[in-house]
Amino acid sequence: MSRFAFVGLALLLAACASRPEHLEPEDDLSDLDVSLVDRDSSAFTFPADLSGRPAYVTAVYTNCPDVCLMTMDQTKRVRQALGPDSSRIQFVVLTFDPTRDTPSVLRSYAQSWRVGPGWQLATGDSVTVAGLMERLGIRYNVSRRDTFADGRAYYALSHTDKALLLDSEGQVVETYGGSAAPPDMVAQDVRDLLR
Amino acid sequence: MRFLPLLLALAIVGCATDAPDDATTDAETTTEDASSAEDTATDAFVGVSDAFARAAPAGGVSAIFMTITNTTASGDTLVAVRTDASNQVEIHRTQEGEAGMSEMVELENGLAVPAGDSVTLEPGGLHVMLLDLQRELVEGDSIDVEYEFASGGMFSNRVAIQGIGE
Repeated sequence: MSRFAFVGLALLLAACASRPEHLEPEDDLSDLDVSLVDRDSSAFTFPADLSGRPAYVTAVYTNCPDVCLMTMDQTKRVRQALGPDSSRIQFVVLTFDPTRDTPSVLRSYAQSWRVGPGWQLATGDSVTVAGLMERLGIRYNVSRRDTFADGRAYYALSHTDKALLLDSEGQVVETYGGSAAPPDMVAQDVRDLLR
Repeated sequence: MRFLPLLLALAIVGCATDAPDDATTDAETTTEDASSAEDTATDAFVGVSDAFARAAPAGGVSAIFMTITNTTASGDTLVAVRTDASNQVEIHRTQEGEAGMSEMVELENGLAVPAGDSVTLEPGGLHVMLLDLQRELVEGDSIDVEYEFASGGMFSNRVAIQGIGE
């Protein structure tokens, strides 16, 4: 094989291995060092504890009766669409309601959703969570407050409906509507990252 | 014996006229889940089918989803929903609001159901919001729900509880 043919082949292989253009990094989160806790109250540092694997990251609050349930459902569908490849990425569900979503609440939520150890559900103190959400481009605010008959206070949140795909270096390579992300499309993006 | 066929025919006609004759019948017969099995219409102008609510802890919130069918020539409006499972029931729409955020808005004037049409309450859109749940809604269980329409019509059914991971 001539020298030029070898170089050409190498270039061709490199092109095949490169990720699609739409998965070029949009933001770099690798400089973050966010101290959270998971559903077992163990420390979870974002994104360092993603163990160098790609991650599909969403954000919900467990008192949400509608959109967040769709987001969780859609995330499970993404995982199903990935089949055996699902073990090669992390699924991260962050709460933007840390006051109510304590680790034990997240543990119950995870049990209700029947999600396994491949999922990280994480919370933290309010300031930390607010800073992380701002960095992720996820907005939320209190949309209503009620006082129930027994005197308990209740509030609902309006929030951004978003999911992010991170590569193994902690860079955001794609974003989706959290409750509407087409599972097959996300799965293909993940596989393109894993190539 | 000559009168026997006539009596039989009259008996059949009599039985048929005892049954609901419009939307309620259609809605109930098209319902696929267990929720309609004990539906009882006090007026045969509208039907609710495929109703389910999400499992949730006591003191929390949940939502009921369904299809409301109105096959009459007059539009109507769902103005209230009641269940002893919740202290505060509201009719909501989830929509995109400020800065693209998802927000829930209460339909304070009720939910219109046009004549000869159906309205589907489904995740991400319209729903009946159950606040301040008086007991845990357990997957596989059911709750009794009553619907009140602007025309004065009332409808009640039993709504199945689905797990959130279903």
